[in-house]
Amino acid sequence: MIRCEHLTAGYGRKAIIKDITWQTEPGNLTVIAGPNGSGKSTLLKSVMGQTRILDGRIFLDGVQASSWNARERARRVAYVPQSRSDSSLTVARMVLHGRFPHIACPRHYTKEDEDRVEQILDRVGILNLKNRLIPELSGGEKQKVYLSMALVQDAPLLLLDEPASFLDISWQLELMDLLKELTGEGRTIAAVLHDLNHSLMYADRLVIMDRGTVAASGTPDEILNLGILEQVFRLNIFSAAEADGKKHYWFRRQNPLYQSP
Amino acid sequence: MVRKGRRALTCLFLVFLLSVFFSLASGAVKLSLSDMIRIMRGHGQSVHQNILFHIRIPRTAACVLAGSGLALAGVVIQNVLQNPLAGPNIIGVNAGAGLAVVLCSYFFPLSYHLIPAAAFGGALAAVLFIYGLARKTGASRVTLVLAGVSVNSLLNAASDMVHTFGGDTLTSTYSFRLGGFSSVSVQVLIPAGLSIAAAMVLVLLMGNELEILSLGEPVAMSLGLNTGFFRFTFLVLAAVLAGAAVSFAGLLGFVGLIAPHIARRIAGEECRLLLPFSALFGACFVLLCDLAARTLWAPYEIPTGILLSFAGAPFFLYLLFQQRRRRSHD
Repeated sequence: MIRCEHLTAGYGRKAIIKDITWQTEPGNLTVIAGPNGSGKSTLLKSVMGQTRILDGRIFLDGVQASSWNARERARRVAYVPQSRSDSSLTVARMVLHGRFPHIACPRHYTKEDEDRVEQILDRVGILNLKNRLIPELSGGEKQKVYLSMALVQDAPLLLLDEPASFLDISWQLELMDLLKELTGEGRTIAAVLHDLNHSLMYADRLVIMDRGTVAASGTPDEILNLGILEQVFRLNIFSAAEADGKKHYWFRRQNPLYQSP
Repeated sequence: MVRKGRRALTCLFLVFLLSVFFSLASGAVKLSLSDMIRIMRGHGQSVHQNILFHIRIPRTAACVLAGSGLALAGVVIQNVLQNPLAGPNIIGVNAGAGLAVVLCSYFFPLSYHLIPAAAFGGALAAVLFIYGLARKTGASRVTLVLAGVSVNSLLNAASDMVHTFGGDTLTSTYSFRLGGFSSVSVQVLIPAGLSIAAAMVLVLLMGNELEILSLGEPVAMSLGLNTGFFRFTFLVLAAVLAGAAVSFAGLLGFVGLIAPHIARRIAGEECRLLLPFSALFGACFVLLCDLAARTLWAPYEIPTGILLSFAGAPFFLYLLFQQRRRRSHD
């Protein structure tokens, strides 16, 4: 479980997120949403020790995060960053590196590690790509490779920074179902998502960020009732329910800059 | 890819054995395999024994050590800086080692044993300076190479200045500045060779870490790699490899750039194949260039560095243009 207490963090001396108090709930899918530049990615990076903590504390499994070494942290939290550089490794080799936090001296991957990779590639639906080189893949396929690498890590906590970018709509829905399945198996997931419709439909809890602070957090219904999305994104929200009660949302800008005739 | 890489590695190993044999056998006096076996058993002519033990074996060992050391330094620097255009000779690592060797020879002309340490210090200072620059300024790949070229030029100018004012120092020979093996000193070769061998073993053992480091800082950190520690360790090892090679082979060009690139194309990016392939390719390349340098124009011998540059410079241009073409296709 992650718990941030009055966290202020950023890069160099510049604070990007300020006075954040937030915690994940075990077995929940928490979606972090907010306008561009509101500090969503910085919050995840701070948990991973990739920013400068200027004030406050982060706890991981009840222990201050800074007291875990890099490998211990990686066994507890897996992270799919938003930006990464492409390597020319094969898919199987790349995903195998997800087992790195678990290997001991002499630091070689075992047959069990390779079997685990095959299982995950199969689950994510890219087993057929295992011998392909990363640069040969489409953006969406690469995204699945990075997600697989994080899943192979077998960490109870999973942080995803815009995992749905580059994915077509069908795979976005497949991804959201997969995330729900994983939380059903006991994993705790926090994901930065831009798609508010998916966020409201799938999240157990939502954290809405605005200008470096948490504007609100709660269940999707609580967030909708607060009217905070309308304020932060300057939107009007509409919804319709299917026969089974499943709600879908769509949005219109308030005071659009351009109105069609 | 892995199977293809393994096959290529086996073929390269055979080429390496042949290159070593021809390097030992060829020269003003030709030695056959049976001559060599007789000499090893202590039955050969004393002239042949002297040629083999005092000239050919040290020279062949020097070529293997310099070629493999510079090639591995190249892979390490390229992976750590995530820059395919980086190489020990491009970003000033060789030049840093060269300046340190020139200074050491000038101030302590009789202390041969200090040369490998000085070369290591010079190489390390150069590589850390470039790395610090890249981190501090967030410089792009191209800027980093351009900064390296400037540092390279500055360090070479400093070496030339010492030559100009220093008169005849040990390393002021023409062949040191061009790179070559005609005046390899066993006193320098033994400590430098041991340093290269030790650094090589460590790099080969840490292949997984080097591979993960090349995935970029956010991914490497999330996989639990202590990126600061390993980046520093690898740069120190690259400085040992390049510095020790420069201490006895002079300023050899392009091996550290060509060998990793050809190895990446043939063996792929997986370090368990890439590292041994690069090292063997570097060794073969230097051995064959040295063989050509001392036999093609016999009885004259030209510095090996000249042939390496003749082969290396067009390749570097090819790389630059190919990358540019790829970028314009993206």
